[in-house]
Amino acid sequence: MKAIVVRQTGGLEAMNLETVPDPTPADRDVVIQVEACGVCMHDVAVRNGTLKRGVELPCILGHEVSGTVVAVGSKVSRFRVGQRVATVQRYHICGACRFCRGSREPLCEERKFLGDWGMVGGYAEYVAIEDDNLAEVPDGLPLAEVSIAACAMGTILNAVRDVGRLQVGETVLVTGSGGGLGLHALQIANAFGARVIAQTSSPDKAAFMKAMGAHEVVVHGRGEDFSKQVLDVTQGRGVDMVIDNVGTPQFQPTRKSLGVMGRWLMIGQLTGEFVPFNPAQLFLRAQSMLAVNSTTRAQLEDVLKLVQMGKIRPVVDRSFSLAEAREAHLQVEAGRVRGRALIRPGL
Amino acid sequence: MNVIHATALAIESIAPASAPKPEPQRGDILIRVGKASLNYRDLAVLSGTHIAAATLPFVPCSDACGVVEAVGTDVTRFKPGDRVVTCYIQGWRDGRLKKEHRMRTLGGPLPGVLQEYLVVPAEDAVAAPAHLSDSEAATLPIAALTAWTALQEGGVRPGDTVLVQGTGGVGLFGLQFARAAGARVIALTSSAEKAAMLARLGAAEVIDYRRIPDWAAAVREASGGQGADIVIETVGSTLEQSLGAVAFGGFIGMVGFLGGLTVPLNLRQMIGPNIRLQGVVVGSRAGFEAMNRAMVLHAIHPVLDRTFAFADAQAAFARMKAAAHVGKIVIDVDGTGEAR
Repeated sequence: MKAIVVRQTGGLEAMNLETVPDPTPADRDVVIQVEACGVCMHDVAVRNGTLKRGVELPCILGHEVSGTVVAVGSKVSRFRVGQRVATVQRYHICGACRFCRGSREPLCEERKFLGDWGMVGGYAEYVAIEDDNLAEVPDGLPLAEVSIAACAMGTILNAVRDVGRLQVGETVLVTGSGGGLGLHALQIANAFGARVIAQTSSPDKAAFMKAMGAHEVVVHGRGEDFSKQVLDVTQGRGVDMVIDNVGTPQFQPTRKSLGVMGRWLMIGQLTGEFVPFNPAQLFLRAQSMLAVNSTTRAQLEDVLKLVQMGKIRPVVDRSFSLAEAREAHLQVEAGRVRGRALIRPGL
Repeated sequence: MNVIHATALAIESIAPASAPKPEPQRGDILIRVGKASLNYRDLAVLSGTHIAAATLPFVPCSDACGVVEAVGTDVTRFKPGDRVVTCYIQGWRDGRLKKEHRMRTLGGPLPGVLQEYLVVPAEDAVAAPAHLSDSEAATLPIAALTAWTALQEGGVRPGDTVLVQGTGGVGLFGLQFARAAGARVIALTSSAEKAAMLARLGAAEVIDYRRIPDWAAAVREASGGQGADIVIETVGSTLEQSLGAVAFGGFIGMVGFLGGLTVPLNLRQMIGPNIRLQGVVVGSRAGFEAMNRAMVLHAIHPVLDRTFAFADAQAAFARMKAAAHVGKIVIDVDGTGEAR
């Protein structure tokens, strides 16, 4: 089969279209003919060597996969050939540890991240993934678009529903609102009945953010403190919850935007920089930082249900063929993608 | 000032009377009552079975909206001219209900709101949502907050299925709040006309319980065989069916007793499917304020039934007793009609 392989980390040229052996199913594997694979900044970080932990080269990139089952291993009972499926961000978990048993499987110590560890990734015609890490795609949903259901949407559902317990009527700030997670965060927070504030330094994105569910869009200059604007639209109270897709570069304005008893959901971190802060700044206002980590299979199934109900929808931009993978990364790194770009091996 | 008195535990005894105008003490607000709204509970109080210690004559009714006319010393929460709504359970500000709060309810044992002027502690009223008329705001303290609390205790979230019963206050507010929270709502009712209204308010499915007496099966069918994640049980006596209609691990908020106070309960129906069954008595002030915030954001307006003149309060109670109403019955205490 054809696949994009990274043998040595580096620039765009580190990705090469190669012909590699087709995957064959081990006992618990489901072999998927890839319909689409989302392109995440994570892929860029693996390719250029920024991310080293959990990476084993050579590797095939890509952890946001949807496709059709073409073969199953001897111990697979939940899936059959011809079924449409979407993946979580892993291809192996042990299934038995306390994390796997306690709806925390992204923390399984045996986990193998799809697209990071060896020749198992979504930038390929086929990929073999253990059945624990798959969900059936309900009829009627566009298969390519739901490739991003776990990473770009499920992570936000995890944040909003399970970690942050957002309630109808609360106010939410989404940092990095224009990004792949941000646009879905606007939608999901809106679906929960919250008042949603988007934050962006790109004024041209404001209209789309409103269409995605933002009640207010705070537009500011790059590097500028936007907290005053957030306080202005919250009667000085600040927000009940921040869905933070940015981290360090906006740490102080984000902190100052958070209200008393606010929950600060840590999802994204765009740089390797550290940040100084005084813990008292949080505890004197009874604020909490909460970690959001990846997506469980159950959360993926719930996202697919919400998409089917029409509550939320995946935002995808251009599709690229495998041969255009370098171009896809170029566009993603340049921030010229709205939502997610897709790799479509069938193109 | 003018008041409405019940001189006996019977709605026939309800009649206009007069009483001295109250004075706000330290921490109190004096409210010029604009509109009041009835609940089924008001009938129950007058039946004599609900609260043993009601002393006669008695000012009935629990829910009111009005304007602050004066404040006692040390009041910072409100100022004269503010539009406020009373809290039904006086003193329950936040957190868990305590025994000492339980008997501090307006409209029995504490005096009710059918009076021109009313004094309550400033801490036991909330600001009226700006988008609501006095009539609309007057419907919130019991019915709306009960529905809100049931849904919050049930942990409502997008994609959930919520079952509401009927077209009374709690059922309609439950429908509206569940929709705002992204849930799918199944409603029970008894006529095509009411069904059409429920559909207009956003019910995904409406089941006519007269035509389909075994509505539990119909609810399961209308929810992909799963059952409802949350049931707001307002009838009470239908608990057995609600247990049949609720999903595994689901929640039943027991809020009403329209069908009587005792019901058969098959524990197996509750234990096996891991059902949470919780009594819900209205809610705290913190819940009230969170609810109002959501109502403003989602521009939710209560469904109003008919408005009765202050002097016709008895007729309002009769309408409630006849169960002829859809939505909330309003009493025009200040005589200004529908206008603010």
